[in-house]
Amino acid sequence: MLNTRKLVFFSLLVTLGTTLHVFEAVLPNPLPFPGVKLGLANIVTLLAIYMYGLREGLVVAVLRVLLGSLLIGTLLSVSFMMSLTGAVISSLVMALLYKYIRAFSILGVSMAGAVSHNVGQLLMASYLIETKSIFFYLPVLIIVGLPTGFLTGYISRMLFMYLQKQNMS
Amino acid sequence: MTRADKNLIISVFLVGLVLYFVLPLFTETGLKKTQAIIKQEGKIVKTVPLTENESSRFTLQGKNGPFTVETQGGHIRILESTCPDKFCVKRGWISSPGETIICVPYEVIIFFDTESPVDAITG
Repeated sequence: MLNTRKLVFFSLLVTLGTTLHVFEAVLPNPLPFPGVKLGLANIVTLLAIYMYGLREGLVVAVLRVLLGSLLIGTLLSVSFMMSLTGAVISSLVMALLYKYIRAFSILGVSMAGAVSHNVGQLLMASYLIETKSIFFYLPVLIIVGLPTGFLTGYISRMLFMYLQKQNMS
Repeated sequence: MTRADKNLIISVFLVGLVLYFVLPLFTETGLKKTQAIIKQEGKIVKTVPLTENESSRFTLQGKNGPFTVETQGGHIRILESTCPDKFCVKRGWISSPGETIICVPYEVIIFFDTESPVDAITG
């Protein structure tokens, strides 16, 4: 059922995700590790999953990666493939945890999403570049996913609660 | 935050920590040496495959005289040289990527061909 309200809201989510994707690409990385990002765009995916479901979450994630990298100019590059893989895998993991294992709060779901995003993009990178030495980097990305996932989860929760109060969802 | 959340944090953190210590045992250092390259006057004159259980000894002609190279168990050195200072001989064995033997009078450089690790790529 695709009513106008959903269509509008869905489009807003995609737009917001794209904006965050681009915004984050411009942000400087304060850490000595490349590839570490806040994952702000994940907020939107998480919101789509909580409001609608897995399919909508996936579509939002894929669309925002497509549109975002089109704007940055990384379309079809290695980093694009990494973003895409990370986005798809994290959407799947988050939807799975939310739907079937209800023990996690939105914070836990977000952290799991961030960690799986990082692992997914590393897998894609090692596949594309055909090297295993990149897995050196796996522990860093796994652990860094916790605080960034917590942050995006926290923001998502505030947003979600606000939207529910406004009776938007 | 639910209990499952806290468990998730702890277990993910532990997995990361364990991987941090375990992974280096499986993957060698970022650089992997494949062979030694001997350059003379800027040109590659010989490449030596470096396998653990192989040794060889050969003599090459330097700019002003001959020198002898020896390899053994993945290490390589200049055994003898007729050059004046013999710094290259005193350098001894080298075995790690990044190490070099340089003989200035004969214009000889020995270094390792490496499989370079990945440059930084951001997702």
